[in-house]
Amino acid sequence: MRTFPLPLVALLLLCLPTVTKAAGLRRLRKDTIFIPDLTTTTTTTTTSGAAAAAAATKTTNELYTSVAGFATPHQNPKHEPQQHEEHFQKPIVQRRSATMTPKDHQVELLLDNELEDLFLYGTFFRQLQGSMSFSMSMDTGSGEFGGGGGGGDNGGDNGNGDKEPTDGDDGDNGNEADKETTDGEDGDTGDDEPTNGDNSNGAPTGSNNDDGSAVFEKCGISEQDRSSMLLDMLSLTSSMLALTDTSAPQYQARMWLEKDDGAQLCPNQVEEARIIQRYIVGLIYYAFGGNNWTNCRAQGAGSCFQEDSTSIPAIPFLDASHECLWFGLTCTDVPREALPSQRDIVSVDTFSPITSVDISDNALSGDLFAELFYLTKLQELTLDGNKGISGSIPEEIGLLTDLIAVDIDDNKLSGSLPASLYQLTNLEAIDLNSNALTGTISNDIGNLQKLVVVQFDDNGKRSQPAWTVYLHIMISSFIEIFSLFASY
Amino acid sequence: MTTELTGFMPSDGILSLEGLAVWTALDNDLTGSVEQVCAVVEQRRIDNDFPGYLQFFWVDCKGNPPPVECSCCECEEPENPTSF
Repeated sequence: MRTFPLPLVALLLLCLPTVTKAAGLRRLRKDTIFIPDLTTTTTTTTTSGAAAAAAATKTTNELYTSVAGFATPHQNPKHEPQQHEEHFQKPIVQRRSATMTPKDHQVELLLDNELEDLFLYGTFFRQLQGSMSFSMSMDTGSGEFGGGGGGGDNGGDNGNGDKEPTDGDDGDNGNEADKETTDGEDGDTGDDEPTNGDNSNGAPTGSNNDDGSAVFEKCGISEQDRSSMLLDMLSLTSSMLALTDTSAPQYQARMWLEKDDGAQLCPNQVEEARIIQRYIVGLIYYAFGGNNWTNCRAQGAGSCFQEDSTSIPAIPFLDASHECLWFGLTCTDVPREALPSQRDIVSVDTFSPITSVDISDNALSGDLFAELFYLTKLQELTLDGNKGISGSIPEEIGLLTDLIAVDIDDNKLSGSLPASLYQLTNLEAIDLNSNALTGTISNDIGNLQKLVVVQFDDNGKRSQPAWTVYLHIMISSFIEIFSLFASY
Repeated sequence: MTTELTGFMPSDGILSLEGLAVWTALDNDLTGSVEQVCAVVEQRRIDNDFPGYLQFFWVDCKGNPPPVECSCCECEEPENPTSF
């Protein structure tokens, strides 16, 4: 990885008055780039569930931008705009009734808008299969816990346990095997509940609806309703197939959100954006092999000190706290180095958009997943030095219209540069060194008028370390300094 | 692992980027000439107009003939000169 060392870049910047004059440059990261200040104003949205419902009367675009902070359907290259306009005009919190019976859910799942969408997305048959399977297993589960009072072990014993997102039991026994299909490689993390060990985060027991279904106490709705609503929300970003495929990280992230997450978000009380953001950051952990990370795994194993922090460790992923406090994440209006005493004031129910994902040199591995780019307020995406992030750069990167810096060098990215990359007009730095990218660099890169740094090379093949480059920078810097003083 | 970007250097696109300070695209299979860019670099340095413009301009411009023609770049020998 060819990088510009921080002190030298800083020195260079100091020596280039016109550079600093033109762009107000500052260092963004240790290694590579200098870019202008991240002074872009972002709006913190703290819309409550009620406000979200009220916002349903707004136009679709207003709703997307004001409530969700996520992309409008028109910005989403994957989705058909009209379906989602309809989808959003009808808030999910209203689409699911708290009094629905499991049968209602089954029927609704088959008739739901999502399935209509799936027809259009061309993956209907496979996804219908998944949905039907899900519906059937849900029905089985409901029947069991209807008699069992929600505290039973019906989750894992009916053969469908691995496809039962709403099995309604305590969530631990029934889903244990599911989770370990992908997490079990790290023996100390098999239960996926590293920070919620008091089990206070799971589905509550001992409280049932009239029909015998278990009630998720915090939300005041049945577990099934909550599960169904969560699934509905998550299907805005992930396919139903992935959300119901037990081997998919999307399923694991969904199960974590539903069963194990200590935040116990209520889809009937917080806006969709809050749920979706929490899901996506959970997905970062599951899709990028979180249990094998070098630092700050979910159990807190490895150092949680961030490179720009000297004294305050971050909170590991999957913690019950607000994700804005987690390792490598930064949000609007939430200080990255919030003191432990300040952390409780960040309510888990409050939506504050993530503006930076910075997880470098931490052995992340796995395909770069499209859902990541639904964090549409991202200004910085730094995943460099992980060496294991693979797949192509999704077209969804075009959703990140606020993006200022993308640094994914020293990984295994392949495929061509997506056309949508050239629409990110706020981009100031691109570092895609040392990957396996193919294809061309379009002249459309000229659209990105704010670009300061562009790095596409593969210095992994350079046996010559960067010392010659550093020397060059040093000499240039001294010349600039000398010239500067001489001019006075 | 290799980065194998191909095709012509996007010199028109680069010319549009007036604040560009760093462009590095070594060890690829890019070809073409960026002499137009060099002319602008030179002129801006003469004019003292943002002397940091393309302060670091590294492309595969070593070889005979070079994959990328550039008189103002830091050059590296292409490791896999598949095109030449």
